Amino acid sequence: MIQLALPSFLFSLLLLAIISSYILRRWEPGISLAIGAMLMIVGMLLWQYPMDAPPVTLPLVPVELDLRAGIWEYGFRLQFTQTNEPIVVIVLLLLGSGMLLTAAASQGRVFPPSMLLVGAGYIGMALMVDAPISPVFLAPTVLAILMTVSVFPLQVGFDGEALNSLRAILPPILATPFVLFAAWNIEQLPLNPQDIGLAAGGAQLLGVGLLILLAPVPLHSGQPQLGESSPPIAMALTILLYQTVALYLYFLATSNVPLLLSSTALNVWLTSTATITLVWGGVAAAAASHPGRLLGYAMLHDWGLILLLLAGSDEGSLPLVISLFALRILSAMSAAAGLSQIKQAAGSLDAESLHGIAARLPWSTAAFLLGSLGLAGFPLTAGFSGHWSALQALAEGDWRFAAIVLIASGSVIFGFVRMVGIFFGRLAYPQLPREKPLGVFFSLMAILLVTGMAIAPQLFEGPLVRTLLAFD
Amino acid sequence: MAVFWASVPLHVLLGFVAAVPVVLWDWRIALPGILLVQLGTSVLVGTVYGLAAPWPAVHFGVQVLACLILLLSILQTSNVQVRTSGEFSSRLFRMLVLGIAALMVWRATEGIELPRLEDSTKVLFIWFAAIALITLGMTETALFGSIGLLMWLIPVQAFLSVLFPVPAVIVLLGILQILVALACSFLLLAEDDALSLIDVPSTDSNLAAGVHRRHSIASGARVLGYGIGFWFYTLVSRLRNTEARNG
Repeated sequence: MIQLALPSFLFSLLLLAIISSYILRRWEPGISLAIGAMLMIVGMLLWQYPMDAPPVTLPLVPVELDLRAGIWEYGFRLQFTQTNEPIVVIVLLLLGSGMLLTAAASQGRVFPPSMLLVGAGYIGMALMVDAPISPVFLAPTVLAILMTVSVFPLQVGFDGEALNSLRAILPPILATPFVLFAAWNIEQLPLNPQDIGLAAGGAQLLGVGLLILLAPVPLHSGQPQLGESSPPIAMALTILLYQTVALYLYFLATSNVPLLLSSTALNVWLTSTATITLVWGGVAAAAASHPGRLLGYAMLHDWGLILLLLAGSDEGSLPLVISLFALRILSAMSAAAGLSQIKQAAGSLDAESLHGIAARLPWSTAAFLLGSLGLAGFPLTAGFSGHWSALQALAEGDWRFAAIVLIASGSVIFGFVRMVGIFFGRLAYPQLPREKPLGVFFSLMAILLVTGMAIAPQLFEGPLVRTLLAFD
Repeated sequence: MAVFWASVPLHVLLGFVAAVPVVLWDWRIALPGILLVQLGTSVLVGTVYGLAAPWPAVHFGVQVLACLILLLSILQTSNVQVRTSGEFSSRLFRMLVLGIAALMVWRATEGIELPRLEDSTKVLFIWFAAIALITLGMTETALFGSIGLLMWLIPVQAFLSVLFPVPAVIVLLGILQILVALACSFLLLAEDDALSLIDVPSTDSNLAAGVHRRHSIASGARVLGYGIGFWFYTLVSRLRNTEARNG
């Protein structure tokens, strides 16, 4: 019987998935379906299984899996803990859903292995509990490496503006020196306890690094531009994985360095840049005619709202931030599922070729519209409950912020109303094929999830409480 | 030796070398420029700041590798705009921006503290970072985007190696440097119209026949070999001609 620590098991599984998806890339739909299902199952089992349970014997193979055991290599310790559990599970579920959707709408033959490679890196980063420098400070460097590798899945189809992918990797690369310099300041603190400047300087540098890492305006350009130029699923996965880890780092940094919130202007900067981000997302969405770019701006608007709530980060806003982000994942993946089907059927996402496409692809169009509208908090979509709670929380503090959010959300919805006009107009290309059964199935699943979460948001309560406990 | 490398004129020279690629905006100047800046910075942190023996050489070796990776794609791409220009501003404008940046760096560095660095080195590193940001702000091609990023990583790598002479940090930053070069060389090929017209990624073995000949790894290596060989041949023949003339 082979004893295996969970990190080793996850990496072996992902390595197997990467190699098999590359070798069998001619059978992309089948292999993506199998890998996607496997990752979803592993993610859900990890979430269900209690961490303090005894080692598990895997079926069919002589392997005993120890969930709590870690691996220690080159000064890095990787271990599955209660704190990183939600992040590992989210990354696995995101990767799994991305692979499943790829089976219905190809993103390019080498997309599955390259995206899985990036995902394996994210899991490794989330599992890192010890390193030569504190993992909180080393993580932005790893994040920069992962975003650089993300260029390959983003540009896998060789179409679109290459510079957009480059812009997406800028924030973590620019943030790296600030965070590492902050680490040096904080490491020097025990040697010079009387030097107040060291602690304050470290907190300020960390604040600057985190602000760059969270990429509000003016570092936002990657998001909408990737929406236009990259395959929809690749864009959604790349942005969501990055933001999941960026938020996780923010929570870790604020809990490890209390001075960050008390003695720096981080909250002031975050509030102002987040407000500009959500307003710009709304204004630009109203004028966008490309559905990918429109989705990018809707995501930017939603991200601005999350950052705004993060800026007022007291105990009360943490559940709100987490629930908004979880609903964002659901909405964005649903929109990407629909958009990828539309792109595959129409050949491109230019407005001229999309006239009347809803007549041929009703389910994909519905998945795209419902998912995207969820990002603006439209009623009867997944994002509504989160946006409504956020509006109430903001209005309690300062009604003007709530009014700004409401106007910006209305602007995003206006952009989608224009898109509805295009989708449900006169069919421009009657020879367009109808939806494939697998595409219909995934679109239906997305619609069910999005509307289900809108009708019964209490379904999300259990996972939310567990994530909150993990971060506490 | 340390006194020479710590001298202000040498710092000014390195700063000037770093600014030349922004003014001339040509990859044939930018790549050797980056290598020269990296060489100077590596020797500086090795001799003046006492970075342990293999690491300055590792910094330089990684930069050479990164530049070679970029060169491979530059030589393969058929897009003349990607290779030679991609600039949307005039030289005069860029010189003006550099001048303003130089003034701002000179003024701003008084309020910035970089521990363990002499004042002249501090100004030099902030100047490198400013040049990197100017390059990133002005570029509209992946080539100069990569040059901006590599330029950004030179002072970052050097300063952080002085602060944390820990192998893990140096290795991670080196990996980042190589991956930036790899990603940008991939983007350079993606910018190539000839490739983007063919709906097959170059990482796939099922490339169209013409594309395969032009863009395969073997052909790239051959082109690179020819390029270096041709450069060496012209250098040797020039030396011979000069010797013959002198004789």
